[in-house]
Amino acid sequence: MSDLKASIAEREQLLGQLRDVLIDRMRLRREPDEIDADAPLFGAGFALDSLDAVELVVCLDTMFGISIPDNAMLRQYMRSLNTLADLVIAHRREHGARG
Amino acid sequence: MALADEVMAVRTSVTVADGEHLAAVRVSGRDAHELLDRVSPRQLFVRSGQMLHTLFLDDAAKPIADVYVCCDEDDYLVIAEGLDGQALAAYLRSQRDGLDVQLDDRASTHAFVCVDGPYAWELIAEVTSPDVIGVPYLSFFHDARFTCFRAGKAGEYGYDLLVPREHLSSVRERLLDAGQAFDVQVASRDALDTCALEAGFFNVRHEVRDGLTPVELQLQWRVTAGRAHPGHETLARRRGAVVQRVAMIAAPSALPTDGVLELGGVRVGRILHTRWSYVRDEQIALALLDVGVSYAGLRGFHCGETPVRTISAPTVNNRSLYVDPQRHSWARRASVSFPALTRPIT
Amino acid sequence: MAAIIGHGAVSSLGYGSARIWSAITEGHDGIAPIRRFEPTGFELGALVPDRNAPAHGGPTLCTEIAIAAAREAWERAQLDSIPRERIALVVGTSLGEAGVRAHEITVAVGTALGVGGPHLTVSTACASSTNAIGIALDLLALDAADVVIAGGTDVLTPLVHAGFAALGVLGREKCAPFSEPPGTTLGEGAGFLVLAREATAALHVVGYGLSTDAFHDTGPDPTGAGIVRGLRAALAHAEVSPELVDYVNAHGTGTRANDPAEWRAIRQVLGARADTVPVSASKSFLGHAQGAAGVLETIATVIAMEHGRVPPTQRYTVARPNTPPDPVASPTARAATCNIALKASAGFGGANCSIVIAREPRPRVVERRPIWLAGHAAIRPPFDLASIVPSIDPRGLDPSTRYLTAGVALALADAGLRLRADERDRTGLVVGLVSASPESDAALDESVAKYGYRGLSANLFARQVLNAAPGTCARLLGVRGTHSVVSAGTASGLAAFIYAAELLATRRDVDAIVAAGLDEAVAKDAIEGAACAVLSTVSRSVRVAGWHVSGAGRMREAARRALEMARFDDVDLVIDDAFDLVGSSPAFTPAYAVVHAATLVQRGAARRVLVTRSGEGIECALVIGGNDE
Repeated sequence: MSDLKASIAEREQLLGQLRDVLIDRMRLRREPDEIDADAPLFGAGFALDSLDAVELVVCLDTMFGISIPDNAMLRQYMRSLNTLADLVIAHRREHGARG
Repeated sequence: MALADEVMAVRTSVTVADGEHLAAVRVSGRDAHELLDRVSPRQLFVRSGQMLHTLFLDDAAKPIADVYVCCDEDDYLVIAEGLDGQALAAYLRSQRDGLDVQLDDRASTHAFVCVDGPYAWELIAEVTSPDVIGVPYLSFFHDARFTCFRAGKAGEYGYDLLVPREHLSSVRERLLDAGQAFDVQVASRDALDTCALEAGFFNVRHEVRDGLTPVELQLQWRVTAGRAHPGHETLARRRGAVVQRVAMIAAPSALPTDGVLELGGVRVGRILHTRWSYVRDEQIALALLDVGVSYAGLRGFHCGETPVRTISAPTVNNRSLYVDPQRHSWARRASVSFPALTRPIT
Repeated sequence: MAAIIGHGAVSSLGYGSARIWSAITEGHDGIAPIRRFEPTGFELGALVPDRNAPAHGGPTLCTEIAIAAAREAWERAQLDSIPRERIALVVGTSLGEAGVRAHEITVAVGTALGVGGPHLTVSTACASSTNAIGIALDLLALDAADVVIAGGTDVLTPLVHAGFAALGVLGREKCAPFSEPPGTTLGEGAGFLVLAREATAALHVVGYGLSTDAFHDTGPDPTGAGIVRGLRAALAHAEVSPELVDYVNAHGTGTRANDPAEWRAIRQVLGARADTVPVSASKSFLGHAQGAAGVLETIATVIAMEHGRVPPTQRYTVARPNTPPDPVASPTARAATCNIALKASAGFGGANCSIVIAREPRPRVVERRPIWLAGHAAIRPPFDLASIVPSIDPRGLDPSTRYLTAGVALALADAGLRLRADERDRTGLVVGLVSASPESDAALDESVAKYGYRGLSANLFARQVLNAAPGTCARLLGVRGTHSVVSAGTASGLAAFIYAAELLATRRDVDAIVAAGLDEAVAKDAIEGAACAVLSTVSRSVRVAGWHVSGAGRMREAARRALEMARFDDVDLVIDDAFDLVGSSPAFTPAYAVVHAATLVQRGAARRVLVTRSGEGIECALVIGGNDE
């Protein structure tokens, strides 16, 4: 059960950080509690565009130390806040420390 | 055509399907914008040629239609799933007091044909013009024989054609004919619903229950806070007081619709919409969970004896993300090595 | 039409046009690892080589290389006997020089060379210097000068480099247009042509065309539709049929987005022949010189044509899909018959400009058709954009974009114009201003301060170009025809009106052009907003009867010539620099003066009005009158 609590806490915290990125860096005009974790980032949903995608890649690097040179690899995780969180969590497991 | 084959065709080539589940109403007249402004929960920032993806709600803020509001010069076309043409027109009529609008249900004169898949753009280009590659997602254009809406809910390239009924069979024929070069398959609504669930697209025909609003359904992006529309008061109250929220789940074997979900022996939610995912080779579902546990990436849930875990949406790695009409084509697909249809993580 | 009687260049290949010739005969390029500053992420650039200049690499490099290139061009032209006031100067620049307004670079170049005729600055990102060459043709046709020095300049700074990196368009290897790997290499440089109306020369610029993609703020329309409009406008202006084109010098940046879109456009315009016409990209040896790219690549084309060759695309190995089959793949220029060449340029914000270069002079009779002022509007904050154009989300737009979009929308509404489909391609926008949005500028500074160059916001960087607001406005309102952005210091608004009038009067592929003067917080307490008017070929109550531009201190001449065009002996009202109904600002006020004049004529309070304004190095005069005047 405490594993569950830890997982929930980790995801909650990450989602909070990612919501801040959307609001501060991508200038998304929504309140944090309006930003659903599974909502699409590109196309539908928040309609981020190709420029935002490039910026998001930079954020992943500067905030979480994730620097994957293969754009195609990254693209599959830039679908929703949840998939981004999946990537960050997996990266942490693999690399130990926080980015 | 087996369901599995239809789904894989949507995921890897191109499919043609009937669009009987869609209704279209043309809204015209001086106050067309005003009427739609009254009913749309989302601010109508939509210019001519563009589509706005939103919902129509009842007074309890329950979604009754999954809607595209399309701006066509001075008029609007409202395309909806969840209400037939008559019900859609009735809904709009109920809000039009004092307004100068005409409502024109297209159901008797028009029908939809849906084209989906990573190479759907190429088939549509074949039957319209190569300029289709410049048509952005959620925009539309008029062709001589039909109006083509670039939308789609499978998470792939998707084009919904609104065709006058007298041209319907010739347009379908043309698509299937030209589609031979693309291994086109005819797909059922079932296959496309499976793909929509995999892709994390809301399905108004399967996922709504009494008491649910866009807040529970993770559809807040379709709503602009602070607007007056049917259900807006309920919605405003619910935002600060939500107790349940949907999440995607996965399980190794079949799950029952409306099945109860438990965590540590305690009931924490229920299943709204479930299907077998051929791409993931497991059962997936949209579940309604208590907010305290409605997070992706958790294990330990059960539905009866079946173990269940929460996952992120979308649940597949759509091939369309990697197909660039500027440099790819169906004919040369073998020369491209696409990533797998599922992500390595979850 | 104009004869090319001189050219000068400072590029990554060195000082002098001759360096470009060496590069394309010996097969080398100007791309190397950047040493001048610590580059962000991508180490290659095409920088102007070191030279013993006092402030080399310093803050005034942009102006210095412009002066050097202009001097070389002037010397080559050998025209010392021309009266100074008959020489005009047009400078194109994308981002100019830090701390200095774009038009000030033009003034500095003009002063260094002793130019006494009208000075004009054009800023449409990477299409700037190509547009400058085009404007030279208009100045000659207008008889505002006998000789025009036209070109552009831009420099590579750490910020610019980081900005392009943030946009995801730079490559890790030297750019290989139409080939692998995709990605462009940023550079810098300055170049000028000297163009004369009457002269014997080997080559001539015989026409040019403008358009805007109106598709996306940084990416091109993948169908190439915007470039098609620009190419067709150029050929129509030159009265050259597409069958006669035997070489195309492409914009050819080497990016994934540009190359296939551009090739689609070329194929659409040239038809089936396109597969047999050589299409090469000079950025392969010059790098991407930003606003100066157009003129430098034109010089490469001109030098090659003078020697019976066409410039190459270097480093071309494998063909990327949907690119020209004959990119002149070679380190060196190839011998080829070339009598008519097309030079295409495209820029951020969607601006496109193409010019037509011909061996034979193709003199044309310039016929000006009558034009009217169909509608107008002037808007100043505060206002609510959503109530003016309900379909547009105003959040996320900077003030310049909001002012211009509101002003243009209101002017179109006042003119009773609801643009439909094809009409959009035939409706243009010409904006006068002096800078990009200061708010976006400050936001970019903040982004850099917070996140450093590596985390710089691509969106905010894209707003640095002076044509950012006009490009976004055109996209939001669907105004896709003739498109340009000019600056003339304190006369910017009036210069835009005059340029719009000349374009509309002399071309057949456009039906209406919205002219605008746009200012945002140019100084403390300065007026801000947008004053716009729709110029139209459809008869209305207010006629735009005459216009002219002259060099500094020659306002009487500008006024006289404008009256001459209008065929008026006199006017009953003059609105000049003293006009301050709304206070003073470089673009809004002069534009508003025209709007005000039109209102007076409409009301019958005046029959013929002369509007004048002095700018930096230019005097502008415009005459409007009642329809029965």
